[in-house]
Amino acid sequence: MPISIFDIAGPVMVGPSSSHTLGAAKLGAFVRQFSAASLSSCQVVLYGSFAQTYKGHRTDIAIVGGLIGIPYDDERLRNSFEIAREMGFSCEISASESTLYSGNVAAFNIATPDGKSYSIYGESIGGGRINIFKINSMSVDIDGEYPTLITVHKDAPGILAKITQIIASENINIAFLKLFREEKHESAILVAQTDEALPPEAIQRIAGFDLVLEAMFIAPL
Amino acid sequence: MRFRKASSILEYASREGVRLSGAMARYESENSSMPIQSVYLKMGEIWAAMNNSTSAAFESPERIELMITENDSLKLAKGGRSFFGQPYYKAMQYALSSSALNASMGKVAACPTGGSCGIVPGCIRSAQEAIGLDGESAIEGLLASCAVGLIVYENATVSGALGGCQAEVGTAAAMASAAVCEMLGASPSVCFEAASIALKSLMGLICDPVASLVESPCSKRNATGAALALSCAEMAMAGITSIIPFDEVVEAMAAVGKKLPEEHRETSEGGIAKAPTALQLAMKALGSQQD
Repeated sequence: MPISIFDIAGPVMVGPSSSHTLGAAKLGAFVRQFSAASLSSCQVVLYGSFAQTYKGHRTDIAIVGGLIGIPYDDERLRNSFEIAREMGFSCEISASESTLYSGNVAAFNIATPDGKSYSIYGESIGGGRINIFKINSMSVDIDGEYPTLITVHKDAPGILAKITQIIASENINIAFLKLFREEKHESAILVAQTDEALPPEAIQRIAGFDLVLEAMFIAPL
Repeated sequence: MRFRKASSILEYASREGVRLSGAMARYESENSSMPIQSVYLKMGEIWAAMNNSTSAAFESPERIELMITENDSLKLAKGGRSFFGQPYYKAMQYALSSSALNASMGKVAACPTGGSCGIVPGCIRSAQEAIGLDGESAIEGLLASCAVGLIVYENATVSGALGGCQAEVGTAAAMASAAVCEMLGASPSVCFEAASIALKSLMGLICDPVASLVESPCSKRNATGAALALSCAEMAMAGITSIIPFDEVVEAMAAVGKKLPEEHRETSEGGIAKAPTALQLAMKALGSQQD
């Protein structure tokens, strides 16, 4: 895809580093939206280059800022620890010495209000761009550049048609559609990037399907 | 629309009879389906954020919170006297301001990165003041600088972790020199001559941040990168050419970046980051952060 000039001169952000601060804040923001902004705590493990340089590059501060909803171009980001404390949000960040990942990788362990646990793995890949590459044990590929519908559902015939029908009934165009599964008939993940945002009612209808365990909407990061 | 080489941008600009800024505005408009006018407006917003960052450190020094360096922009502002020319002096003062604001977790515009965010705005604002140009000229300069950044993105990298400081400060200086030439009314090819000279001048520069902070040597490299960019613009405006075309300079920079050992790519394991004083500063800075 051709590069936007606004990724060359820009984006407007809180410093100091597009990959270690901006990308980190976006990873936090993704997890916040994944949980429908319902988190009161989060456990984060940093790997690779994040683990080595997070203090100097304020990666930890940026991640917490993203998790509690501070925009990445808002200077309150630098006080995210204090703001989180005031909100009663607790976050435990640790650096892993594991050599499993060499890039700027963070793993978020969260529990949603209905008691489901998720481990979300994301990487900051440079210039403030991110890639969510694993949810629980499932490999995925989500960049957060478009309005994104994510469903966790049971891998069964017909489910894709049902979901895309709802998107179509809203007259919304799907730009990219990806399906991920671990094993046949086990749980699967659908990622639909759309040109416009799906309304909350549509997300609720999708979440209401029998085989759908969860449906979330992620606004562009 | 996709440009992978500077030569294609030059061909396009000459065929369409547009300046470098015009070529980039059309590029963005076509790819994003945004009207040309909106591209200029959005770039105006980026410029506003950049312009604010160039004076934050000496107008609102309370916004600056540095770990190991000082507010050097404020020192230049207070010094106020240049030995070798006001535009150079001001470009450094502005570049240091944006850089210090970036290191303080302040609001800046990456250009092309956070670590190198002072160079393009510092040069554009200084050139604007020196020549007496309006706000629109800054936006045209920024658009032209994107042509240079785009070719680096397409063929090399702007990440210090991948290509060293030459990829960040080198690219930023090349972008800034092209911006200034555009603002002075130069043709697209002159802009790329300036950019070639700048990138060649910083080829091989390693990324070796002390204490893995984006402060030293980053901030002063923003100042010297800005001064160097103005020098390259001066040369190109006088008709000096690079001899080696920009596309080949970028290829060479990419090859050098790939050969840089990991300790010279933002890991703080080599270069100035390993100087005894740097290690002491790192102990002090990161120790105090653990409290």
